[in-house]
Amino acid sequence: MNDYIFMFFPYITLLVFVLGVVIRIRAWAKSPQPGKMTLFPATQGTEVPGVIKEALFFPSLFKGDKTLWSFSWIFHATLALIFIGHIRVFTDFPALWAALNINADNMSATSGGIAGILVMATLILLLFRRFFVGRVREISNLADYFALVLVLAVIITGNMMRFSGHHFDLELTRAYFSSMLTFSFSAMVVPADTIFRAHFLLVQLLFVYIPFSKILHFGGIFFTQTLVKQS
Amino acid sequence: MGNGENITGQELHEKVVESVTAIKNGPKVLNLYMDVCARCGTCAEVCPVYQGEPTELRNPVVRSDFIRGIYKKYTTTSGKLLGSMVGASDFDGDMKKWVDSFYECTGCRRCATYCPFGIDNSVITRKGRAIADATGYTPDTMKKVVQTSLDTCNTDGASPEAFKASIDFLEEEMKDEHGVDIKIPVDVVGAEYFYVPPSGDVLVNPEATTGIAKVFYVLGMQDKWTMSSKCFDGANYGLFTGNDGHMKADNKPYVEEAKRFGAKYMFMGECGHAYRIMKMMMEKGKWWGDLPFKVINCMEWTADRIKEGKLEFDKSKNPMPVTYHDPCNFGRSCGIVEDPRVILEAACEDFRDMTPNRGENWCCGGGGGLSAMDDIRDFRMKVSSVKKMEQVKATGAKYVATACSNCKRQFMQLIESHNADFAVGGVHDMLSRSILINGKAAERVDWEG
Amino acid sequence: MTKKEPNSITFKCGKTYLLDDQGFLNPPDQWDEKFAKCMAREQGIWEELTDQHWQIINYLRKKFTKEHVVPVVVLACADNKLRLSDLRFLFPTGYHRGACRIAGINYDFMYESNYWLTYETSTMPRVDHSVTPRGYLSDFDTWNERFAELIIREWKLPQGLTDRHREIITFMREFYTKNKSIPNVFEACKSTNLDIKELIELFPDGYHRGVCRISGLPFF
Ligand code: SF4
Ligand code: SF4
Repeated sequence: MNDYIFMFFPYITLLVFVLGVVIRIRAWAKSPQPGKMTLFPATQGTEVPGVIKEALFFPSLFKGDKTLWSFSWIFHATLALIFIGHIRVFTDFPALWAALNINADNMSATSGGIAGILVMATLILLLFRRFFVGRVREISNLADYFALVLVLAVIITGNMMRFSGHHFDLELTRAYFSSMLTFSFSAMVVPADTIFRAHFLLVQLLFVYIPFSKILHFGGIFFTQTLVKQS
Repeated sequence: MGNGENITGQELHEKVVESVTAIKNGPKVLNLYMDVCARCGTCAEVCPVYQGEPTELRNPVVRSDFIRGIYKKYTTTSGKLLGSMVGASDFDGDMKKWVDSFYECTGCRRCATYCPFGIDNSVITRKGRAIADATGYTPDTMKKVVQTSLDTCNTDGASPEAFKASIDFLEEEMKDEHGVDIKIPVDVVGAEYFYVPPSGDVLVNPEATTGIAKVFYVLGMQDKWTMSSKCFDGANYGLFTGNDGHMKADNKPYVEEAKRFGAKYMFMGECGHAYRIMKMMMEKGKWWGDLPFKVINCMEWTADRIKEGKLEFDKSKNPMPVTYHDPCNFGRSCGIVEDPRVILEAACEDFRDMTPNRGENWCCGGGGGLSAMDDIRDFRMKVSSVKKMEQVKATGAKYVATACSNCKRQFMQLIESHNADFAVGGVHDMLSRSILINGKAAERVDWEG
Repeated sequence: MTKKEPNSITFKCGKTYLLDDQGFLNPPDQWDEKFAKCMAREQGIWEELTDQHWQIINYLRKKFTKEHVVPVVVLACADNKLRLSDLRFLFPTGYHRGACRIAGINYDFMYESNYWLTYETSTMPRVDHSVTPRGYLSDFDTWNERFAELIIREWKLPQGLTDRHREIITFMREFYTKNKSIPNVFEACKSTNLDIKELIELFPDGYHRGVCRISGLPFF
């Protein structure tokens, strides 16, 4: 029974996530916008680079709150790195590693390890902020704490796999995902590792939650920033 | 304050929910703002009101959540299912709290400048005020100003006769100052420039208008511009009460008047929100379709003439340290930031900038129409203006020039209630005092120092 | 001008009037000529009210009591054939805060009849005496109480110009007239029975920038 959850839930998760995000973004894109919302200084033609800069480096936030900017930027940047790093769980690029002449496992152990710690530390700082900074506490509701705690749980379980000393079977996991990608259910073996299972379940919960929550701000930023940047 | 006496709790609730759910089919900006906020608290950090005195109800997000919560509860599946888990909440029936809170946001858009997503809480504020307006809760002062303006086309309720008498007076005034006949043309069909100031710049602090008349005179363009004896007040409080219908109704006569004159330029005076409505909303939003004229602003126009070297000044007429307060609607919302500085640098001996300035300037604390509301005078004097006063004091300026009647009123009261040692006035006021006409600046006795 | 309580004012002549919270006469029917005269001093008009002052005051009273309006400043000037700068000279604290206040129009009426009126931006005159760059009176003989009041305003002393100030200033001016020199601080304190604590209280800028400057003595 347990295994079935891990066989079919991921598809549902993905479906909910993709559909949810698409529906939300479509609604945003479709809604009419009479009049301009431009915030100056804004110069003609800098709209697209401006929005991309905002999405990558948060310059507005940097001007407004440097402490938050450092927590937040490190958090998001490492999160993005970790996201990219996870590609190795699905597939590997031996040719690339050979060309670059590095030991992929070692590299992923160090960079992934550092990123894991960093992301956890900054997230905890962000959580602390919610508790202890007056103006943030005032605006924090259950949903805000829930999102943070959920992501924290994902990160902690992820870090546990790396740091708790128990062996994480990369090969087995990779096989599991590749049979999932090819829909070969008969050959699918779900790794028995409980920490992995917890991590994966939490990730799925997170992904299902995203379209219904403020975490969708990663998509929204392109729209909201375009509104104030276009001249 | 309007108390919505004609509405029961039940109706009120329905009305509120109905207006909030209408956001779903409304403009993009509100839809986005309902969903996107990451609740990081940066807006509170930069909000003049919250920084003046932080209380929970003054936190921009708490205020915006009045509406966001209802929106989540009634329009999103997650809100219906998960309730407060996703931040959904119901209207608690306390419209008075709404009004108090929404009329404590100055609509300065400073939050949007620093918010990582560019979320402009003033848009939500305006929505909140619109709901208050629809249920009859708009504060009485606001209601009255809007009504006067709709009835008479100006917020003063002044008649065309009174206006003409004032113009005659101003022409005499300029004759006294310069010894030549400087005209302020009224109702001239065929003029290229149709000048639309705030009525205060004619009836109460007229030096901005005389300044502009002098510029036209020096350029030899006396017959190229005109004012209207009916439409001489660009102020439009529909922006502040959130009522789009009123805003457009108030705007329409001006567009028609410009068309009647066959003007090429709608020449906006020193009024921040009037220019913003004309430029960013009416013109860009195509309220009345394609227009036969362009909306421009007196400051950018004068500044261009100065850059061309066509105007000369006797700076010693303005020897005191002068600073410029960027009205939020001119600076952040319309990008008119360099032009007033060009004028002031040319017209004054000692121009100093405040920090931060331009698009990052602190609001005077009277934005969003608040400056007209004396029932919240204490709030304006002691809370929303704290940052501004610090800024002005730090420059040591003795004269704060600003291009907005609302800002001027706020400053005037600030000077009074803080016993502060500076004066306030317009940008063209400074020009009017020092511009050379036939090689001579105005002969005037300066009682302000 | 001796005693000031939040919502009433007692002038030197001993008469008390009720004011609104903005310092305007309210209720308005208390108005009499005495009020105008005393309030004028509060509004920076140190000399007697002239005919020109009375012309404006009577004009405003007529508009207010008979026609129930307050004209905007430009129209008030036009009706009285005055230049704006004349009006500013006549009423240094401005049209609405000076002239209308003296004419006994209450704030709420003005606000309700037209809130724009209260936009008018002229203020208290800062310099109507010629002063040196350091703020000392250029000409010893042009000193008057108005100059002292201006400096007191600069110091933001809550009690304003007191009789004690006047006493000390008189001593300083007499000493200077007689000896053509400035008394040193000890002489001054001794002759006026002034101790350091009181000196700082009355003249927060100290002896030179405080006592000497307010007395109109030149800077050496
Ligand atoms: S700064 Fe922007 S994202 Fe952050 S809480 Fe304020 S509105 Fe929300
Ligand atoms: S618009 Fe201005 S006053 Fe209103 S919430 Fe934003 S920063 Fe604060």
